[in-house]
Amino acid sequence: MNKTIQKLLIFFVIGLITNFILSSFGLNADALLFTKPDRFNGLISPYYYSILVLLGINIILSTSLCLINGFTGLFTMGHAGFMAIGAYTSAFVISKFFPTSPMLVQLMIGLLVGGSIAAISGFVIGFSSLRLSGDYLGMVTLGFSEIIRILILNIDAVGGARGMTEIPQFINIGTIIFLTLAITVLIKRIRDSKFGRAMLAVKENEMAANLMGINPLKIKVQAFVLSSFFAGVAGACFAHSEGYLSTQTFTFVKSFEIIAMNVIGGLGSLSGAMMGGAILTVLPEALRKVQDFTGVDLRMVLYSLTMILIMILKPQGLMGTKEMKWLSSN
Amino acid sequence: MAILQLNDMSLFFGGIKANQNVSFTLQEGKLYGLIGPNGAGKSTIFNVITGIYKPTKGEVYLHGEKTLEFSPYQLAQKGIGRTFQNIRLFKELTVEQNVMTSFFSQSKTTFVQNLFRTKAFIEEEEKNRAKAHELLKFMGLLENAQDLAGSLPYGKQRKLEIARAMGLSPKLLLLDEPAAGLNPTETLELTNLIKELKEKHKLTVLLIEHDMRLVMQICEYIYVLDHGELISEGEPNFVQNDPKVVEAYLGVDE
Repeated sequence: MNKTIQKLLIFFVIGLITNFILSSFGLNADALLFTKPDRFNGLISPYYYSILVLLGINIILSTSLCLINGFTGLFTMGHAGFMAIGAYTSAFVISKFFPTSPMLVQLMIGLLVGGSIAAISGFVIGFSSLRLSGDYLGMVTLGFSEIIRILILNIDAVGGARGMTEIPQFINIGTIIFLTLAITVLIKRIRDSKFGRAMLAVKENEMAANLMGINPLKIKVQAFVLSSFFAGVAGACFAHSEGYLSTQTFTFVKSFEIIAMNVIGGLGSLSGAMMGGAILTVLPEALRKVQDFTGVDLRMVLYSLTMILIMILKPQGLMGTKEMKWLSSN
Repeated sequence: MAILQLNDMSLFFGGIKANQNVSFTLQEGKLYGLIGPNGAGKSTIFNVITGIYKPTKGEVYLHGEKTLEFSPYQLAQKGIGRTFQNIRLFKELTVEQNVMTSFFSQSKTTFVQNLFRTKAFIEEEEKNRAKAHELLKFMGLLENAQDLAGSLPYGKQRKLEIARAMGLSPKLLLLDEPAAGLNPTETLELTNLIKELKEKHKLTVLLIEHDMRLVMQICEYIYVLDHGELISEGEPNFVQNDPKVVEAYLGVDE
C-alpha cells in the first residue's frame, strides 16, 4: 500500500483514539464521527481542551509558513490574512448552505472551501507581489493582509465589526491531531520532492536556480499557494472550533506571532516550526499560573523575556536547521 | 553546424559600453576560449548568452533560433549550462541535491505524484540519484555526495559547479574561470576533466580563463576581447603571437 496513505490512516486512528479518550470517554456516535461533543465528560477540562486545539492550529500555521519563509526564503508578513480568508469563507459557506448537514460533510466541505479560497487568494497576491523580494515583499504582504481584514470588517454578511457568531462547531481534538500530523508530513514530503529542492535552490541562490532551468517565479508562487492553502485550512479549523470570529484575531500581530514561531524554532526547520508553534501557544497560558504567585500581571513581561532569552542563547532558533528524526529527509 | 551565433551584439549600461559589436559563431563540438584583460566584458557575454542581460543591440541565435525572448531558465532547458566566476552553489544543500536540482525541468512527475510518493516518483528519484552519482563519480566527488556543498574545499566546489551544469545535459557549456583559485595540480586535473567531458558528451564548450597555459592547451579556437570589443580571434598559436593581443595584455612599447 502507498506509504503516504498508510501514514495518513495511522494519524487518523491516533486522532480517533485521542478524541475518544480526551473528550467523550464513552462509546458514542460523536467520538466515532470525529465530531465535537456537546458536553464534556472527558478527561480534561474545556480550558485545556481548547488550548490543545489551539496548539494544533498554531502548529499548522507555523509549518505552513515554513514553506514560504523557511524553504523558499521569502519574507512575508501577511499569513494571518490567509488564515482569515479560510476562516471566514468556511464559516460563511457552512452556516449559510450546510447548517444542518452531517458534521463529517460539514468538516470536509468547510476545510476544502476554506483552504481553496485561501489558496486562490494566495495565487493572486503571490503572482502580483512576488517580483519583489526581501523587506519590500514583507511590506506588500503585510498591506494585503490588512486589506483582507478591512474588507471582511466591512462585509455585513459575515457580521462586520460585530463579528460572526453561531458558527457550527465540529472541530474536535481528534480532527486537529489528524490534520496537524497529516499537514506536517505532507509539507515534509513537499520539501523532499523535486519541488522542495527547487524551493531550497531558489532560497540559496535565485540566479543559479534560474540558470539550472528552474523558473523562480513559478516556484515562489507555488510555495505561496500551498502555504496559503494550509493556512486557510488552519483558519477553517479555528472558525469551527471557536464558533465565533472577529477580525481582531487576524491583525498583523497574528502574522508576527506566526513568524516568531518559525524564528524561535529555527528558520528552515520543520521540527523547529512545530516546536515554535507549541511554545508560543503553551507559554502564555502556562504563565497564567505564575500570576497566582506574583499577584500582579507579569505574564507578558515574562513571555517577552523568555523570547528574548531564547534569541540570545540560541540565535539560530531552538532547532537551528536540524530536524527531528521522523521529519528528517529520507 | 553553428550552435551559437552572436550578431553585432552590443550591451550598454547607461554610458558604459560593456560589449560593442561582438560577433562570433560557435561550431558544434569544439572547445572555444574567450580571453581578455580584466573588465574586458567576458562575463557580460556569458550573461547575454544565458539570458540574464538583454543586449542593447544585435541578436543572439541558439541553433538558429533567436534567444532574446527567452528567460534564463528556458535557455537552460534548451541546453545551455554554465558555471560562475564567483561560485554560486546551493550551499546549504548536499552535493547530491545540488546536482539533482538541475534535473528539475527534465523530470516528468507531477506534484500529486511527488506528494503521495507514487511508484513513478520513487522510480524517477532513483534514476535521478543514479544519474547524479554518475556525474559526481566522473568529477571525483562521489565520496562527498552527502556533504553540504558549502563545506567542500574550493577546488571541489568548482568541480561541483561543473557537475551541476552537466546535470542539465547541456549542448553548450559555458565555463567562467573554472581554474580560478586552483593550484597547478588541480588545474591540470581540471583540464583533463573538461577535455574528457567534451568528448564524452559531444559538448560545445566556451571557456573564460586567465590561466593561459590551460587555455592554450585545450582550446581549439580563441576569441580575444578588450574594452568590450573583439580584437582578435584564431587558433591558439595565432592569437599568442598577434601584436594586438600582446598590446591589450602588456601595453605598447614606447
